[in-house]
Amino acid sequence: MIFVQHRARIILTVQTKRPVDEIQLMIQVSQGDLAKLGILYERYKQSLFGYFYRVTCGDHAFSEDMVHQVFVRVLKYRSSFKGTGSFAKWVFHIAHHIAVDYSKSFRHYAGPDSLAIKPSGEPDPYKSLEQQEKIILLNRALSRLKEDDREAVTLAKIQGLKYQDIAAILDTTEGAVRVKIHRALIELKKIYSHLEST
Amino acid sequence: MENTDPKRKEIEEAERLLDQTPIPELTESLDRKFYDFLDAAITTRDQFPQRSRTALYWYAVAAGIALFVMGWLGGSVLSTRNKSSVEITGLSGEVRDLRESLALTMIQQPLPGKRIQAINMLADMKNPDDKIYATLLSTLNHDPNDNVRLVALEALAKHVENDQVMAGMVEAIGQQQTSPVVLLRLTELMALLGEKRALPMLKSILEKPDLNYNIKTQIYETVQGLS
Repeated sequence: MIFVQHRARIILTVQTKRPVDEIQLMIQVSQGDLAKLGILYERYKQSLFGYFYRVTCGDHAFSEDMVHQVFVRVLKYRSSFKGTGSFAKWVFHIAHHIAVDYSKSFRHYAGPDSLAIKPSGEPDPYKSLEQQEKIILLNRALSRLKEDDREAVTLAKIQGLKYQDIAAILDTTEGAVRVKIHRALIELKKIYSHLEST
Repeated sequence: MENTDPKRKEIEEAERLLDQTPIPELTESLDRKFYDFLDAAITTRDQFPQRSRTALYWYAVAAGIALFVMGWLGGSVLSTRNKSSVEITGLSGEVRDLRESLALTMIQQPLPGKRIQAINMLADMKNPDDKIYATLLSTLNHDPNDNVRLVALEALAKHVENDQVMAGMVEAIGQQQTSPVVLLRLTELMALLGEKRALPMLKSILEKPDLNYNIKTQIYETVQGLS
């Protein structure tokens, strides 16, 4: 089965050849060695999912769908990768555009509180009730932040992304990003504490 | 020394909150979807190696010129023989049938890329017949790949004035619960077209307990709008 063969090969490569330079990998993809995309996918799928999961305030199905869309675009626009910046910055720039499209789709009908409610019936990977409540509260608090603030704090938590990269992704300056993230974190804490006490 | 700045403390607490609140694991279906997609891309690439873009462009130009010359020659031959325009129409009909057969064969291919190509060929045909509509509807309902189903839906959306298409799209709502994107797009189309026939199907979906919350919200809004 092709799926199994590719996957096994990719996982093996990740395990035996670390650390492989991501810029080089992406350049190889852009030059036609498409199988290398599997290595980048394995490295980035969880952090991209985490980004979308936070940005959508806990929408699991959409977040997975958007991770797939990111790699569809990576392949589509592979020739535009010049290797001048990190792969992380480039891939999250793509993710940002996908998140903006998502946001446009839902702006007209999803209220801030409604987004935070967990879809019923979804299998829950967490055992602790306290942890579940924490997730719901955090999602609710995130949903009350402004969209760009929510995205900024989420990007700030992604390993490998510097303020400079986040500024480039959000098309602003490094100083502005730093201020935005700090303000958003204070606001997030304030909202969370308020929700916790009510 | 402990930091006493209250703002600094709030920032640290918010950061801790984000760090300590876990994010769920990905499901295996994402891996399967990605590797299917990658396999399709690799296979397609192997069939059209490196020079693909430039070469394909020139092939297309050459094919265009060849078609033009053939058309011109065909036209000259027909006119010198005083053939009627009915024969020319017959010829273009045969070309169309050939394209249609090719697309209908391609849509059976295992590679999603090929199937998308086939759908695009069908979508480009002028005055599509019932067979084309039925093929696109069947793809929308049964294709295992979300992207293929989405492309089929976009192709069908150009023919909503056709009753068979509209009725088929309404029925398809019930088949799309494995793909939030396709279901969302279908619901959007129903709202946009004011299609009241979709109401029973949308209402029945609303009753499903495991429906994605955001989809549920959109369906609810659409039901409200259509009622």
